[in-house]
Amino acid sequence: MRQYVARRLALFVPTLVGASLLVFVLMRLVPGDIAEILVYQTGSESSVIQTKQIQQIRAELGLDRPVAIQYLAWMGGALRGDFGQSYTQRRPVWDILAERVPRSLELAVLTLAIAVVWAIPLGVISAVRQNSWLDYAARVLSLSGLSLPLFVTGVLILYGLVRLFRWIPPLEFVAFTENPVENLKQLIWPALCQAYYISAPITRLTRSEMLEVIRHDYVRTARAKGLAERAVVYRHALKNALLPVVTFIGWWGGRLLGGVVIMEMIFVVPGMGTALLHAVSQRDYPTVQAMIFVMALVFLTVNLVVDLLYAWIDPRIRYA
Amino acid sequence: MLAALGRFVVRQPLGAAGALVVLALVAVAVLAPRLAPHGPKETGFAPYVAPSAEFPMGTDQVGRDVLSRVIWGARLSLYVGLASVVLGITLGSLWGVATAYFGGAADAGSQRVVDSLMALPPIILALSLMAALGQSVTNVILALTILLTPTAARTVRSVALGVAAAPYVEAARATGGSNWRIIRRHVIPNCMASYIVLMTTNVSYAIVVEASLSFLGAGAPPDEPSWGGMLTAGVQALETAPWMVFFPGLAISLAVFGLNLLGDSIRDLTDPRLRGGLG
Amino acid sequence: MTTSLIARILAVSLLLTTAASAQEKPRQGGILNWFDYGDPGRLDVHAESPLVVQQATAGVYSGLLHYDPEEPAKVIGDLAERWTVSPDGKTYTFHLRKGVKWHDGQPFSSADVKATFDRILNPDFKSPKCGASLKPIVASVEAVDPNTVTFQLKFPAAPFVPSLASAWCRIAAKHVLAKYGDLNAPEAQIGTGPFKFKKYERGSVIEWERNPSYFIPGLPYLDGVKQFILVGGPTQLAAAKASKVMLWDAWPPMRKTQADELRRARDDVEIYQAPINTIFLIYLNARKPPFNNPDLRRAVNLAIDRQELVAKSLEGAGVPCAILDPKLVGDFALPLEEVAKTPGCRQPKDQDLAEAKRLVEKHHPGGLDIEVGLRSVGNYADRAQLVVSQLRKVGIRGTLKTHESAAGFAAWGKGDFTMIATQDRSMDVNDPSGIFHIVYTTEAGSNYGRLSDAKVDELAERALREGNRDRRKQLYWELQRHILGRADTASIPVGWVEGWFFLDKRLRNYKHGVTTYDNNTFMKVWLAQ
Repeated sequence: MRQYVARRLALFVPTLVGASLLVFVLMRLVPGDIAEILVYQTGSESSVIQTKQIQQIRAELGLDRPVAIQYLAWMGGALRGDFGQSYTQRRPVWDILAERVPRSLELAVLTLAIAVVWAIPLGVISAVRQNSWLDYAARVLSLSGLSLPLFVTGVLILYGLVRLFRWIPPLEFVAFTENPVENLKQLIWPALCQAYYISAPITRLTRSEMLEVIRHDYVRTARAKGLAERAVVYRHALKNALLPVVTFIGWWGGRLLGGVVIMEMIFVVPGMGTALLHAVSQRDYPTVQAMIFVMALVFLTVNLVVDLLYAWIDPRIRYA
Repeated sequence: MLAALGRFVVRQPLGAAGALVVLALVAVAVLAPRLAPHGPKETGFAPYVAPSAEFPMGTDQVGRDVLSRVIWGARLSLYVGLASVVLGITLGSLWGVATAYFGGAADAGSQRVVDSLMALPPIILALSLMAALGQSVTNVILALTILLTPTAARTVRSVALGVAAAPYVEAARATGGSNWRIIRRHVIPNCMASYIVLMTTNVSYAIVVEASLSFLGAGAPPDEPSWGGMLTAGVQALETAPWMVFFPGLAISLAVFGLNLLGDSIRDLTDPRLRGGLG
Repeated sequence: MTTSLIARILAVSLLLTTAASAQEKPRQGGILNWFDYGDPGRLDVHAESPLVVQQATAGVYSGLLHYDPEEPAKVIGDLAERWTVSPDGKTYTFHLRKGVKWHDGQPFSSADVKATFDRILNPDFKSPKCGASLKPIVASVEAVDPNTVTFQLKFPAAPFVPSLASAWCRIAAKHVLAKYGDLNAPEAQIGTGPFKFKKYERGSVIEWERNPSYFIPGLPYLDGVKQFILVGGPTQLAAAKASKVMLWDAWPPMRKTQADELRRARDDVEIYQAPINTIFLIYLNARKPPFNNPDLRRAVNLAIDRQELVAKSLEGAGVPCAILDPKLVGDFALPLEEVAKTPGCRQPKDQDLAEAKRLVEKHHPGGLDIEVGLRSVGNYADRAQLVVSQLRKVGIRGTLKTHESAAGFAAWGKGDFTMIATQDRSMDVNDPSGIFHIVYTTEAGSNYGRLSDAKVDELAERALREGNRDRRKQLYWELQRHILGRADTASIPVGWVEGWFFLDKRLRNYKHGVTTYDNNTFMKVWLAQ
């Protein structure tokens, strides 16, 4: 087991390096850099002055160095935990991360909690009553979450609240530790929206895993033997069925921790998603690099933890 | 043939409904030029007209017929969805199969690339790609393809790993069969079921992701009749012109439902683990 | 200067105060809620240019001069009690108020003014708003004594006073600049204004609180101002409908549909239409084919139906065709009746369209295919689609190329376009010189098409330096007639943009600024019960 963990952790390194390299290259393929954006977005000064200013800003920020040097410099800093200064906010990227991560974390946890409570029972019902109208209803219901893009559902909810109740969720973010009620009043809505959206694949997976497990002999025998045994076995079956589901949820958790931009925009949650979007559109390279790095790290870690959980619970699993 | 179809409808009513919807969608997409009363970019009508006899789905903010755009939108969405999925899933699947079969350092290396890609948040990846490539329908397809390839590669690889380890494949290798022939005759057919299911679910995913990209200003060009673009414009005037959201929304929902129900049913039928219930 | 503007502002304010009689006594207290359309990020009012930065910091600072909160077209003293001009018009002496304190308790003096303008006017300092307006005009700034400052101009310039009164030319503290180096940090927001900078929760909210030792006793009436950061039309409108905000942002203004929806949702608001001193332009790249050919530029000028664009994409809220808007700059603007007869503006358009078609056919028989660029902001997409459909009538087939907002500006600046379907430009100062030095002269920063017209350069420069008002007016008329008459400009003025706004009925004494950037301090605004 320890060997397995060590091996997986060792694989983090090339993956993270790969991801950061990919982002680095991608950001440089996107046209324009912060210097051009800052200077050209006003269009007040003469073109001669503009050119000079662009050169000045590039020199200040080190953007005139060869690209490879820039990457190595960033990597060197990152390994020391120094992600540099944001080009747009002129403060340490670390501060931005420290601010934004907890909000996305909270939203992700809320979303998953709701999704699990809603989607898994739906999947179980679907499986246990396969091909009954209950199954069909459950599948259609869970699919409906996927059927509309998130922004449509979000805006519908927002407008619905305003129209029906003359009420809008708080527009100002308050941390859970400061005022849990206000905080939840704001976050419950994007959480519901997101949970609705991701419940479809969770339900589908739960259903198919349950179906597989239910077929096994021990379940058939238990069923034949009687009620009490059936209950015990169902619980056992459920536990086995849920393992892949847990992996899947972990995968989703890793994704959600990166923040869902659209939900944050509509419900005014200042999380990782909007910060990253803003950083990308302003070509704030240090912030983009750091955020992607953190998101990738979180994603990989969550997946590892879940896989470990899987292995610990079910010792039959062998790892290649 | 008809009997088989009849059995399908009875055993998988949801799937049959899904298939019907998908067929209708394809029909609308193919027949768009003849079905749509107007061109997709044709302006000149009064804006924000409510659904009426002349405009059954109303007009939008620039004065275009929503019905025509929804019909042409079927063609565009299907085109974008299918193209990106076919390209992405196929590329990914081939990648997964090849690395699984050949194994070794190439497999390990390519897995790192796949993992790196998958660790990136998809919307931001798509956004950056669109910004780098420029906004056009072709580039939306390209961006979506890049999004879909890694997932397919990983999924198919794990399936292919299982197949590659199977005894009959070992036997075929032992008797000197060429790699390509073995892949073609044994490995690929056994991955087909997951391939088909991946296709159907991802076409609907592609359609919905394109819509989100439109909302962020990075989808297909705004004059193209993409359902996502229509929804983006529609939510700006939700109370004034709810038909601008209702009809494209309905269209997307139907597409998603149809594709997913069909895919689910195919999976139910082809995956031996899922056949039959409690008896 | 602009009697018509004053008249218009008065008319609007009369409308706004109908709910309450003028005899109402201002009430102390209350918090004003409104919103910013984006997160400012950096807060340095001297170095930045987006409106959100101005909104975030306006009430914290004072200027030497400013626009009267109650008569927004008029320039009055803020930190300067009074000022005098030398007979040659090149030396301005400002006498500063005494006893003013910074928010941290330090005393204000002329040293602060000098430090501020030394910074702004420094050739190496990037100041795209205040600096860009003043650097061509001002030679030096001297602190004569602790309460007197003189500005030495390079030539007697009429735009000097309006430029100095701009909200971008606020005075910062010498000791704050020394301590922080720049004004980006929330902690560096130390001013002499009616409000103190209370809180900046990035991505969420900006708050000001009342300055109890403001130099005008009794002001401000409000206890504070709170600005939510709301990105995206749907959320902004939802907030307005739910009574969470009391007025609408200066940019982007509400569309008519949004205004109508709001009117249906709430009956406690006043909805009005106002100019935002912003011009809607179509750009042609005059440095490369096809639009290096004046015939083709003329074809586009003739083909564009400005009235239709204003009617449809601005929903009627705009002044088509004009290079200068009489509502904003008074008689410096060419009378609209004359403008309406210029080529491209004439209605019906049959003659112009025929000539345009002919010109296109002559150089590109079979039609011309071009890429039409736009940034994906606001309703630019809708405007662009209308423009493309108009061009189709004369044989020009355009394909839309949408740019991401920030990257779009970089593309425009570098000349990376054939045609820009729509780009709005907000004036920094309400002066007739603005549009010409920003858009039409050869070196102008927003002359994206890079068309060089020596006559335009010459006339604009002469008008800038002209002291006599009547002669100045003649020069601007000549300029407008020249550009509109030739009808082959690379920067086509489609129209001046207006928009819809709303005010909570409880809000009193709020007047719309003459530019989008001015009059956001809420100094004399109060909330009725």
